[in-house]
Amino acid sequence: MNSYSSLDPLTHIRKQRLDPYHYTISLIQEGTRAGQLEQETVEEIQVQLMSLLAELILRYNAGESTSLKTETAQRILLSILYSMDACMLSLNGPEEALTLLKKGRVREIYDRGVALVASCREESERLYEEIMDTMLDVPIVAYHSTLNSLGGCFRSYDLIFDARDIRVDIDYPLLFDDMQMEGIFYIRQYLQKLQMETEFCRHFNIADVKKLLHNYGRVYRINYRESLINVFEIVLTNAIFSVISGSKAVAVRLSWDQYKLVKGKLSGLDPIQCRRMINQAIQDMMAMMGIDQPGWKEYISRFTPLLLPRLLSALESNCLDNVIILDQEQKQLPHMLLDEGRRMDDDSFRSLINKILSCSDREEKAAIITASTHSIGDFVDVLEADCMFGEEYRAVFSILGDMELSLLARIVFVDEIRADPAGFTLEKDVMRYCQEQWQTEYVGFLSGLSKKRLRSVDQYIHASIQLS
Amino acid sequence: MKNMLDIFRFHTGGISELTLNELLKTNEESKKYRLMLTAADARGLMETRNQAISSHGRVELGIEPVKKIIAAFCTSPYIHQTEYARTMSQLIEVFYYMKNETEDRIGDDELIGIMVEFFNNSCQGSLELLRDREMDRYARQFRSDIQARIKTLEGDER
Repeated sequence: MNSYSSLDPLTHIRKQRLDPYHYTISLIQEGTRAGQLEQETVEEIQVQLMSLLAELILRYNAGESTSLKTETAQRILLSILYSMDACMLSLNGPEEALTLLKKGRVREIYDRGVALVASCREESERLYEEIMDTMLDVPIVAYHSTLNSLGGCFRSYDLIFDARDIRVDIDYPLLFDDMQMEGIFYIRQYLQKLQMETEFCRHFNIADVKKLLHNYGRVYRINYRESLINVFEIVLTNAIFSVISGSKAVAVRLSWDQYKLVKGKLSGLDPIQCRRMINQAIQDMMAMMGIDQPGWKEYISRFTPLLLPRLLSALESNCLDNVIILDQEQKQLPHMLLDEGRRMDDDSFRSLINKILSCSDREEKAAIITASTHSIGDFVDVLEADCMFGEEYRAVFSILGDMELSLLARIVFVDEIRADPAGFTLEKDVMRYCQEQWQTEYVGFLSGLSKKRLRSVDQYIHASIQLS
Repeated sequence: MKNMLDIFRFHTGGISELTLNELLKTNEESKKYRLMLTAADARGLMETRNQAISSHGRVELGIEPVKKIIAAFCTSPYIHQTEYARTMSQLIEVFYYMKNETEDRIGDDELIGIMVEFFNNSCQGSLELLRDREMDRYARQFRSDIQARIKTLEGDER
């Protein structure tokens, strides 16, 4: 079916007034308004339509009755118009459609339309069979129940008396679905898009896809098997970010390092730059996957306006891991393990400080310190080396375990602990003046912790006091 | 676009001279049974027919059912000239009521035949008995039989 959206300079027909979902009626109305259709012609069309309706009513009743319930008659009339719409939309524009109408060939339009509807049904059945042969092996209830329901809809589809309606339960959501369409043409577009989405997902290892869905459910705290989620959208999102991370192959499982790389690339970008990056990643992804069908490219490219607001919101709230779905194992950062002994030599320490200073990314700095320091002495030396600023301290403290935090507390609150070892607790107001920048940042970090966490750190403090 | 069907108005049938003449032609047969419709009677029957179609939410292509009812009932021994038009009016009303109650599963001729059968036998000419007892009972039984048949078919399919 063709769709039109521009003003035709040659006629007075305003194409934007034409409704592609009720085309014949809107064309008659617009044609009348524009003076292209005489009232006589419209009446003649009405007479022919009524005649066609009467014929179908008799056929519906197998010639045994001349009356019908109004809603049944309306359904048949809508069915007639549905077929006529199919014919009219297949023509080369509203001008050709109007010409046919003016000739008063309602029957011809209808017959041609019925043939098109029948052809669409055959095509849809073929599409369905193809999808069944290649369907995804994913444990999504809605996906399978929808395919089951679609299997039965072709047999029961009544293209003469009820073309506009088709009995099917479609629960599985597409990424982009045209819900205004009806009848078999709706089914065909649904199947075409489902096939595209399925084929895209089949480019990836199915075990990876299943794992991704499992992680998605974990992140959003939903039973993903029972939820009405679109597999293609979830797979596509991770695939796009795998490309942004610089990966040579498009993948759906991203490592923590890839995640950090993506986060680094996206931070500081304005919305326009973000959009540009996503669009480029989509183009690159399609090139890498060999996707060159125009329909596919158009469908996938429509994803950017959907993804961008989510991405921008996630970047602002520092929860990019709600958009890029990671494995649980990869997401968990190892806590730093600090030892009372084992200090590094001076050269190594200087080298470490230089490395930290040359790094501008907060997360990366934290990662470097995590990997390189193993003793509390070295760790405090790094904190005191003026190689970090503001939020960078917090990034480091956030990866410490409770035990490590307690070691730092014993340094920062040495006087308070000495004064009242049994009564000391971090739950009291711990804001105090500190000489060292890192201590000020540490105290600030503690004030943001929950009472439960503070109690846990307290326990380590008291445990170590008892041991000493 | 709300209510597209407004562009095509469903007429339940204006009362044209042609239509009235068609109804009056039934007198050629009914006069054998001393039953005749006047022009006013014919007009009244058409008004009843239009009202019945409208009130029962139906679309009717023509006046064949009215003519068939006249042809079928004018032979009844229970119909006399004094109440001929009134009786026909009520029978038309019962007919369209029953078309809905039997879910359009019975053809016009068959339904009229059933009505004649009850009217002439168990109802002995009583319209009240026809409408309020026999046809209601028939409709209930008919629907029940249909449901039972549907359940059997569904069971067979499984």
